[in-house]
Amino acid sequence: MTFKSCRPEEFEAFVSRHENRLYRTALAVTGNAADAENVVQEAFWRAYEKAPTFNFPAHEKAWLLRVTINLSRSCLRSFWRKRTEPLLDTYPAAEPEQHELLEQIMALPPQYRAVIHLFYYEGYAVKDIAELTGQKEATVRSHLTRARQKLKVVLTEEEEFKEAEHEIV
Amino acid sequence: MKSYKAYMNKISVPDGLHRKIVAYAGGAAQQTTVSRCSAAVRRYAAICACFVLVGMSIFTVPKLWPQSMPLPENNSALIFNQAQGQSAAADAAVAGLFWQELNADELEAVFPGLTGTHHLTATANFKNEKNSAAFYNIDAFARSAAGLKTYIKIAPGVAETDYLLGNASQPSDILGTTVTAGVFEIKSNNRGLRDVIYFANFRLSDLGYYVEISGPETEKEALQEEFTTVITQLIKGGAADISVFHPVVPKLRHDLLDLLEARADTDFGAYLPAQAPGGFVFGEALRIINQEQDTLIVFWRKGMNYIDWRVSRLEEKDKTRIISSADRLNYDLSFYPIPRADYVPDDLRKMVDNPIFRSEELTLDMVKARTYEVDDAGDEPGPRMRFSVLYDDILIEVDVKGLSPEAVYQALQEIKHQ
Repeated sequence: MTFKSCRPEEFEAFVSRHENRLYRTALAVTGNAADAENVVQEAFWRAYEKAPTFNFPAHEKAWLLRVTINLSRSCLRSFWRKRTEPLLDTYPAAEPEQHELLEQIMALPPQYRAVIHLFYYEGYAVKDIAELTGQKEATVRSHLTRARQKLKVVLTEEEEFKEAEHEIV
Repeated sequence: MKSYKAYMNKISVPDGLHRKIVAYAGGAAQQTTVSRCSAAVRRYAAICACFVLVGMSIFTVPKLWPQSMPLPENNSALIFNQAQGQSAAADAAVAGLFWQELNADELEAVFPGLTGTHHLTATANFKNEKNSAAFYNIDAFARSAAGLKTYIKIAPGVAETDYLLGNASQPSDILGTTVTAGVFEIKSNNRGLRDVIYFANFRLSDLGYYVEISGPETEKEALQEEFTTVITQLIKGGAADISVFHPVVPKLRHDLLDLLEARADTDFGAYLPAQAPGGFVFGEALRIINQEQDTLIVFWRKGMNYIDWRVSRLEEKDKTRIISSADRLNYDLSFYPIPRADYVPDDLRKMVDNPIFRSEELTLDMVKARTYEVDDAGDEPGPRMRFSVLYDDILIEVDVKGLSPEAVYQALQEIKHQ
């Protein structure tokens, strides 16, 4: 289905179904609300203009997440962006206890943030993240391992994290 | 990560953004460009950006000079330049990539300076180039006796780094090799703690090396010492001998099939439903063979409902999910309200998420025990289920929405043991 041939209300339903998920993912990778908004707009614009046939909702979701992650990476690779820091200041306000963890996560390299978000927030398995990001499973596992090392200070008290570590490695 | 999830759950798309996106549907038809900049605006924006850059550089360039941090070890000093940011460089999808874990002999050849002092794990990646294997890179971890873990990447030419250094960064000389090292410091948390990440790249012969270690700032002396030790030993040991590898391109396949081709697949075609349940139409089929999976995936759809049918061979790692019909706690979802993460015991999580039933034990009652419904904004209601069924050594994984348990059970019963 391409949305060019659809009624506007069908496209709006499609947008409503996925926009929060894509926005959160874009925020996780870019670390910046303005960039995330641009990425989400572009992802939906691509879906509208040239989306491939979506066979079922999970496929649709995976396609959109893949596009969002790729666009977020492109955004971070841009000439201007490479010379600026991710701006936590523009990130939506966090509770004090959340801010510490968010700071640590946002300090990770973007490719790790994508994997962390897909694993811990979206709940994808390593195998699914590999399909989604076009990486091999070993790379995803390596990113998770290295991300966990980098988050060592803030996460040492989270038992849940240790459990997950046990599962991944 | 609970606080991360809680935080993300509170984030919603701003109303303005929603309106802009939805406006495409109406606006695009009228050839309007909603929030997409015109060429003229982009051109002027670029010019303005140049002025801004020039202006900013006047204030920021002095901050780009490196912060020398000479180390006492090895009669050499690593100069750690302050990282200016993070690189978005990611391991992009590489078509035809395959890999192998290094054995003891290969580790000795690749890391001659480290095998005596560190526990090493490494993966060599290769690329299929016209049915010939080309070296792509090596990913490795070196663990010291003290438990410090250093990441090492070796690639032909240049090994990509995760962090950006300014043009004014100063290289170090380690045993005659030019090493560019840096440090990335994460902001302190509210307990005054923070992580530091030391990284460096250098070349040995025609190979690029990237080395990284991270940990709490309170342990930075130990981290620096270990980091320097690893780099020094790598350089002392000399360039990796990658001629030790003799990779053979494995069977690789990633083909989009039509339904006839899927049914004709000699390995798994016989494990597809004889016909699609009422109203469902064929969407897509994929045949994937690589080092991680040998799978046939077929999708059917009906509006927002779908059937995702995956056929593969049972692997060793799947065996822990094979359950007995008597162990209802292992598969009956009625025991676990949503969100299940709060109710499913950790030791049962994998089984409850996707249990494997033996086909000869499968009953309609078991399929019903896997069926649930959730309200998902913007989605149609309908029964959902996910589980796997084992036919000898062939595994069928079923992920369904909008199909009754009776219909799923019927489709599975029609599959014959081969």
